[in-house]
Amino acid sequence: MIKEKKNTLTWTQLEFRLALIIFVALACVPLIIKQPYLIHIFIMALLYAYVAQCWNLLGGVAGQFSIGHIMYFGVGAYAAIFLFTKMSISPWIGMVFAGIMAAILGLFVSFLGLRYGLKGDYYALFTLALSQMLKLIVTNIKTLGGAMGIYIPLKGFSLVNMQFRTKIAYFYIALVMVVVITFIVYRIITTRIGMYFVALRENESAAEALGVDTTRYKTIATIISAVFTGMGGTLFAMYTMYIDPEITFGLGPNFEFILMAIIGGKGSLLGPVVGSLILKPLAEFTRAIFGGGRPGVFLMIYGALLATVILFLPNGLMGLLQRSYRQLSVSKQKVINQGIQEIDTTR
Amino acid sequence: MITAQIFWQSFINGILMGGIYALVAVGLTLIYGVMNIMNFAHGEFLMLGMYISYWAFTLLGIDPYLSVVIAFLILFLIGTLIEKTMIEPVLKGQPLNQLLLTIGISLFLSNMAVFLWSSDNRSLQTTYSNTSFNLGNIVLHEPRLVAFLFAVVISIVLYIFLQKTKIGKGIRAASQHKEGALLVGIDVKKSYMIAFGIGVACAGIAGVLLSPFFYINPTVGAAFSFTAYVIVVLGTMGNFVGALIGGLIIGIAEAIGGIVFMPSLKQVISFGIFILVLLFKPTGLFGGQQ
Amino acid sequence: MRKKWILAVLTILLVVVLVTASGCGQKSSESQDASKKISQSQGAGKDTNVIKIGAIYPLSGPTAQDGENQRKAHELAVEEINKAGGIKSLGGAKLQFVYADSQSKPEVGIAEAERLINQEKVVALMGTYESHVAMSVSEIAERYGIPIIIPNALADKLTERGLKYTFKTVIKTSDFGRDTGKFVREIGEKTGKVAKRAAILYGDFFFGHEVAEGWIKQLPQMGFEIVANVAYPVPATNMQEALLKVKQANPDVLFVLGNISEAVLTIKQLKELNYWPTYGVVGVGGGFSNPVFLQNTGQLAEGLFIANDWFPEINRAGSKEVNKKFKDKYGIDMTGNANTTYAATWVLADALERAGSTDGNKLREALANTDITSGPATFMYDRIKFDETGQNISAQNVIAQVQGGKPMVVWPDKYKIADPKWPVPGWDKR
Repeated sequence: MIKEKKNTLTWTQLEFRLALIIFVALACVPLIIKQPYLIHIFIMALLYAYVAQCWNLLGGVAGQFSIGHIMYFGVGAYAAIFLFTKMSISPWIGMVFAGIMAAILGLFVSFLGLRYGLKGDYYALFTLALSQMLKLIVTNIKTLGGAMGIYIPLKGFSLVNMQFRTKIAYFYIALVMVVVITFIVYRIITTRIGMYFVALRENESAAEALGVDTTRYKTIATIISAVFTGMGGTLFAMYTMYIDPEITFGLGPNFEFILMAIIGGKGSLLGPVVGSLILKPLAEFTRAIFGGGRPGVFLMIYGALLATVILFLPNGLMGLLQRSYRQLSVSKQKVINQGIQEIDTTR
Repeated sequence: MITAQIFWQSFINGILMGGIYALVAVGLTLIYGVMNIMNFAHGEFLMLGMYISYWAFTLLGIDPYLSVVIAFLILFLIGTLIEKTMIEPVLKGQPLNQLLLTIGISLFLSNMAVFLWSSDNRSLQTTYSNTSFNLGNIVLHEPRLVAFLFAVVISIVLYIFLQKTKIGKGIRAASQHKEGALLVGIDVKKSYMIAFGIGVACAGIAGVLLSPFFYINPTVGAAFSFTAYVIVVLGTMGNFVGALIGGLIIGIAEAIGGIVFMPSLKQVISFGIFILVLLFKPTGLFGGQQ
Repeated sequence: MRKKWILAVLTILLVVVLVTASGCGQKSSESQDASKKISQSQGAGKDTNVIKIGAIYPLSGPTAQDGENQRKAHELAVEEINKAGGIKSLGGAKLQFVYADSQSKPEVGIAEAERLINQEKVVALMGTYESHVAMSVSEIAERYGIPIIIPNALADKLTERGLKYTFKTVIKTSDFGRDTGKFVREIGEKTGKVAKRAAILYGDFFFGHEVAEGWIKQLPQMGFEIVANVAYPVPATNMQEALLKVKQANPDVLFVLGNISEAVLTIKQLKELNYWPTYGVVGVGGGFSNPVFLQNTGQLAEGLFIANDWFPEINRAGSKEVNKKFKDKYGIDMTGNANTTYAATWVLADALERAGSTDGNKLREALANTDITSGPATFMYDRIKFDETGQNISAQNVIAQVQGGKPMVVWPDKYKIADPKWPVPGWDKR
């Protein structure tokens, strides 16, 4: 009985269990690691995992090429920081506001995108151009600090101000956010709405022919993803204590977190998390090893690594694992079948 | 408010800059039109063209305008090599992976330049780098004029190449209908290689033409990349003449917009045009149905 | 069944989080106390040998070269300080710098500052070259009660936040506005060619806007009329629109700020457009004072005025010698703030000497009472004394004019090595 159950465990269910193990392990990290710099690397990895997971919902699961996704992140960061620095409103409330602002932007993007039927490459370029235009606009708004950005002052350590004496608090906030978004993605892909998202990705016109309201589900996917990305922007800003248009709307971080999702395996539950947890520390350590040497080496290696992974692992790390899991279960089934056959023949 | 002299000067500047933009965009549109791939490393090939011109001039004393041939050959070779080893395997894969692959290539190339030649700014100082002449009360900068004329000539030559030669016809066939082209015996893979090589070489030539009067550093390509995309979409992805006209439109819009509004906002103008085109005519000015 | 599973794991997660989070606050403060005690008990035997100072710079990324320059300046000063017997009041203790890479990111700067303070036990911090990193790092220094000396980041805000442990020896960004304006006014009065109409041109980025604010605030007070206020995009593919906007306004003098790429383009395209303001052009910022700028522009830069706080060609006691030492050791001139960093290292040594202690509070006290009028640091400043905000009161810019391919200091009079040529003729009259 039990054996049979194990065999019927789907890949997503397995991923979910793996995710729980990883999260528990992560929760124990601050017990072992005390160095602020190492904790910092973990916080950044978690933040990237979070945003990559948000992107994954839209770009990976629902297959919409939102390659200017950082605009939601930037809007979220600026919305909450504006409230915090100008009106001393708690960043937690700011975070909700950030989500609302990002949702409005997401609604705007999906409205325009759908109204004018932008698909594939065109949608991708549209989001990219919009994100860069927002960057230029923010750069030229004086009340948002313009190109100088906003420096976030210490208003006293407290939970309300989201400012803490130790980095460990940020670590756990980031971890909880990753757990929440991963759980949401899990809920979505295991229910009906997830099926619709996948249908959108695989074949939009077929989905439409089968009666799926593609407009509705595209908008839903965009808004969920935008809301959570925006909230991530708030945490990032509060953690780094400084934002400017380049950090929050720049193409560098934009492609970096999309990259994490792709290398980890887009469309899978754990891909973005695994991708960030491996790549971000790897980037830091290669920088530590090669960064001191001749300039450029580190990013050269990074670029080459990226190209290699895409060439050889088009479905990312989780894609690779998934394939081997399938092969494993298939071969297991074969062994069982053989055993049955053998028993049969000996009879 | 703006005097006629300043206006016409900006207009001429816009046209000349538009020519350079067009040359960068022509290569990009060729690659997109034929292979349906977004090449985000395009600006980096322009940067390589600049360095080829720089080193040919400082080490060997070769005039930048002669370097056009060298740059074309070298970059054509690099382009076909990259296409064969990296682009071809992902052509059937997901578009997002193709895009990220080109980003990886761009990251590699620009940092290779940092590694090999440091991130210092360099400038070519030829005898004609700063020469200009007057046309009425408008100043015409000679290297820009030459670059513009080159850009036009190269575009025309490419156009004829694609229309009249056997290889060119093969490339066009492959871009229009891959299976059909295969059926009539066209080597599609080879066509792709050549198209990518030529596209990349066009960016390189644009770099060489810019080199006498522009600064050269490893990240210079990024400044041109996005503008090239705007132009390609504006002039219909894959449309050759469209890229030329799109380049001129963006060049003029930026130049005039820059003096009417703030120069720092001139990119908002081209992004604005870009988004409007995407929304109202996503197939570009010269496109039929999507 | 599945739900129970999830619930169980989530509860475990929650418990772990709560336990560690509540435990951490106490533990970390305890362990900090413990480690402090250890360092103090060891201190008696160890501190007398070596005093560790933390230095945070961009050592990778696009500004790595600048960070490296600062490191060299520290090393040269430390070598000299230690050779001269170290800190005598601390038994001849030797200075030792511990370097950390900020990667130009504030959050990395914070993490590294904490590492330097907690693990390396540094007694003071120096750095960070980039203002946005210095903003965050100085907050950390304040939190731990460790003094920080900023010799190379210019933002005005750094010393305008009421921080007690932050000291800044280098000029403020807004000083560019004050000093360039003063120079143009004085030379106008002297020669009778008074520039009234001013144009300002700057990049659309942090430093650009800050310098521009200084100009907008201060130029009108000095009798200038700002006839063009032009920002250009960074990175720029073209400066022509911006320059045409300036030309349209027909100013007497153009104040321009730029990084190296835009500085080079500005000069080249002024020539392309065959345009030159009535009296001259004053360049501000790293782009113009960088020696690479002159390599890139050659003859075209002749006659251009450049504002910076120091140049190798300056008439100032000790300057030649210091620059020679630096050049002998590293093969480059002491530009790009290496000069201010070198001087500030001596300021720190002086404070340590007077404090006779490595305690953060006592060192802060000593720094606040700094008043240096002689010694190696004066090749850079006449006098080093901090006001109540921690800003060095006598920091100011000098103006050099490119003459014969070299920036020669022409203003103020007491430092000048050559006479300024004013007005600077247009392209066709050269």
